[in-house]
Amino acid sequence: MAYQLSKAESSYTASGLLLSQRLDGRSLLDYRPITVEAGVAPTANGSARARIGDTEVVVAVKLDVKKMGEDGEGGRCVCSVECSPSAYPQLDRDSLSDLSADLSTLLSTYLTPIVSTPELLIIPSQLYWQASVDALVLSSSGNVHDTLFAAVRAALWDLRVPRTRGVVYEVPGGGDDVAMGEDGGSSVEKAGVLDHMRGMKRGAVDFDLVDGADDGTPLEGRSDLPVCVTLNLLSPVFYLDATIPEELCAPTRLLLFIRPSGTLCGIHKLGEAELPPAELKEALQEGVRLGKELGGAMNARMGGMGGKRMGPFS
Amino acid sequence: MSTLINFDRRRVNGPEKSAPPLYFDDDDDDDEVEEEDAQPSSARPSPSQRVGRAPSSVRPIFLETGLIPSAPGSAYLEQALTKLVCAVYGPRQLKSAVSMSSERGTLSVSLKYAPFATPARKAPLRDAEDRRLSLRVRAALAPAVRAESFPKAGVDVFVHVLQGDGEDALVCAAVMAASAALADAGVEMLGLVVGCCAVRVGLPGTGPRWLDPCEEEQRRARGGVGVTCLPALGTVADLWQWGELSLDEVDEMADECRSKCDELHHVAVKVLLESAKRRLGRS
Amino acid sequence: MSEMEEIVGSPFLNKLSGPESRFEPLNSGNLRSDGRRPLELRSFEAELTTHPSADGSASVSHGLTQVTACVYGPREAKNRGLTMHDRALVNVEVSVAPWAGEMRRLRSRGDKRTLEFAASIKSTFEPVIQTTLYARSEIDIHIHVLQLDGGLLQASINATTLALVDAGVPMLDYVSSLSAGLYHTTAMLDLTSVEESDLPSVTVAVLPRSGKVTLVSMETRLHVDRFEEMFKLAMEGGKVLRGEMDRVVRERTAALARQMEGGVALKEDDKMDTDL
Repeated sequence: MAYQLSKAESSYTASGLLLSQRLDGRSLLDYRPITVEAGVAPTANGSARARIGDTEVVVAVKLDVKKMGEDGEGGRCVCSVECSPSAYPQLDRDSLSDLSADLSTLLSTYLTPIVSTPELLIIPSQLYWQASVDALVLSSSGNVHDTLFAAVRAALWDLRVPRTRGVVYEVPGGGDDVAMGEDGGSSVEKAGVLDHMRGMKRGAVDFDLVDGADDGTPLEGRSDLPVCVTLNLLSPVFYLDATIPEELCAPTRLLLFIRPSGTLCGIHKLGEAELPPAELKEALQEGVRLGKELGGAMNARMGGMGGKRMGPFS
Repeated sequence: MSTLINFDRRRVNGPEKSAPPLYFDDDDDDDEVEEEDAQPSSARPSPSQRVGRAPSSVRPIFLETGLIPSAPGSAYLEQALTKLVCAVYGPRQLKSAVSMSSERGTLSVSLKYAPFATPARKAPLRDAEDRRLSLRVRAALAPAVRAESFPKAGVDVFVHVLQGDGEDALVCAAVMAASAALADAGVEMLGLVVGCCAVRVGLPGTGPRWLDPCEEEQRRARGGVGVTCLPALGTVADLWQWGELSLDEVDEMADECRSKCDELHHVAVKVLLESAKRRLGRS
Repeated sequence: MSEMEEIVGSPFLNKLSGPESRFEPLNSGNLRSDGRRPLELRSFEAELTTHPSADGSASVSHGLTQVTACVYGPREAKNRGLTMHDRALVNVEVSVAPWAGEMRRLRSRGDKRTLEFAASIKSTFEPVIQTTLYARSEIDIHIHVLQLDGGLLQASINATTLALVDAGVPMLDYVSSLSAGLYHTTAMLDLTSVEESDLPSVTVAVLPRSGKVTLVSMETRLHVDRFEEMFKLAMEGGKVLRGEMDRVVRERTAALARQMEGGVALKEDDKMDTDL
């Protein structure tokens, strides 16, 4: 990163961190105030804005009907992250688009298996909802990853999948030509509301929207969507939610994606240095515990506020 | 639309879509007995049973350094179906002025698939997947390379994948080949980096863990872990995980991978020692 | 003008266009598709200092269209080659969020349409910002379009004005902008995207005090006899918007003054008066 810290500043920050003293008075495992606001983009199927400190990310999820590819599965999620030049005023155009590309890849790597749920199938092996997850990093004061994934999580929480039902053309009386016309030929059969694709009758060829575009079903597993916790490892301590100078002090950062149920769904290392083998296990354990806590807190807030707006919590 | 943007005028471009050829084989069973390490046959075994290999076996590795004469350091690695070539250039002058002020040299890694490396043809342009794997290889090598020994200069590592079989296994193979090539080029390092990966299949808590998974096994897995480490120093360079695993499983798998890395380290050391001896004998 | 001052919110307006196959911009009751009268504006909301990391920032929404502008500078130019010895360089960068419109659309940084749009904003503000005060420096304006429902240019210009005011960059006047359209012989103001795609429209940016115009943009055909009426209406509308923007700025300044107290606050007020 082009942002540089003078040696004096870096050693000042680092020695403070080693003594568990941070410039803003937090303890090592404290977050800055987290604000999440859902439903910020009315034209999207789900959207959210998350702030941690002064870092701000807006995410919107749109659903489009796509045909399955030949491989039967097809990507059910496409991601893009754009970093605004105002968030990284010190970066030039090229490194900014590199950064955006790296964040996009990271997002799609860890999000695609999570979003590819059967709920997004319209007609098995034919049509599905493709979720486009687009993020805009509006401002950054450290810890972009946690903010990004908090916003993505809230946007997926806010997501409403339009209800569909399958349409089957049936030939009455066993006639050998399939009549697709209005009268006499075909009858449209209701195959039930799409319920984990089991309610869908086999052989459905088309679908209908059940209700208006704004209404739909939320994702079933939304309370178990993962959160991202970035562990900044500065041997022998580790700390959370680093500001930009603190991030530059940490030789290694470890991103953990943790479901509130405690399952890990991704570990990713950032930074040049090696992992401190002694503290690694403890750091992972602590990270998982904190991730569970954070996910639980987000669930409680999002549920309690009717999924609209969450105040700061830590 | 997107194909037009990615169109490369300098090449003879293949057709937009391609499909792997289908082979019609009468006797599947013979095949299976003959080559153990080949891809799992069409007859599906029970999902928790591994075809032809012990759960903790790593496919045999063939490694050789110094086969590209024009590069200061190079290595060729073959592990069952995975085949890759790695070349190292540098330390050499950097083009961009930005890194000139830096006290540390820059290490750049570029991993590319040959268009014929995968069953479906890959367009020969940089895509997101290549960059992702490049970054992963770089993350493993960066802790080992003493970048402070070549300030204002850069070392470039090029990995060319001739055939890939399993993404995690490919990364581990690329890391091993690259660190051998770096050593071959005489770039100062703290130690050789080797990597090992494992997957877990089946339901949480019950399924077996398989080391060094191939493509098919990786697709079937519930989650996987990859570890690259410097066995000489006993440090972990990189740790990554995907899929759905509990913390205990991650711990177990990472430990197993680390102990396997010690064995792999011997392979790499032996190869380097031999090539050094050869070189001494020649001069 | 009392009609225009009445501001009515209208969420989800373009979804109300109904089952009729033909879009009717003005119904028999002389109301538009979202229930507005022809000269009524959508709800206008503005907020200053939305991004504290920038030198000045503002977020503006006209109905469903929402735009954020961040201003950096005047500061030392990144690219020395482009600096001018007698005045500041104004850079404008626009990014449109992929979800902003009805359909998802990824725009690359070099998108021609976006570049042209940025250039027109740049030329709108270059004569208004007192660039000669800051020789050899640059002022960067970053515009983010978060929601798009017509009136992109007007919202961007209004947001930029407020962000520049927030950054304390000296300008000759507010620049306020509004779009106007025409259906048969009726002129209407502040078009939504549905109306924009069906009707001829003009966007005008004015300096309300002097009545000078810094931008007129029209990309559709329009009879020359009707142009003057629309143009004048858009200018009048711009003046109304200026009042709204001024109110927002004064409220923000008063809040700041309260926080600072005493002498500092007085100075802040003085500065406001001399600036305008």
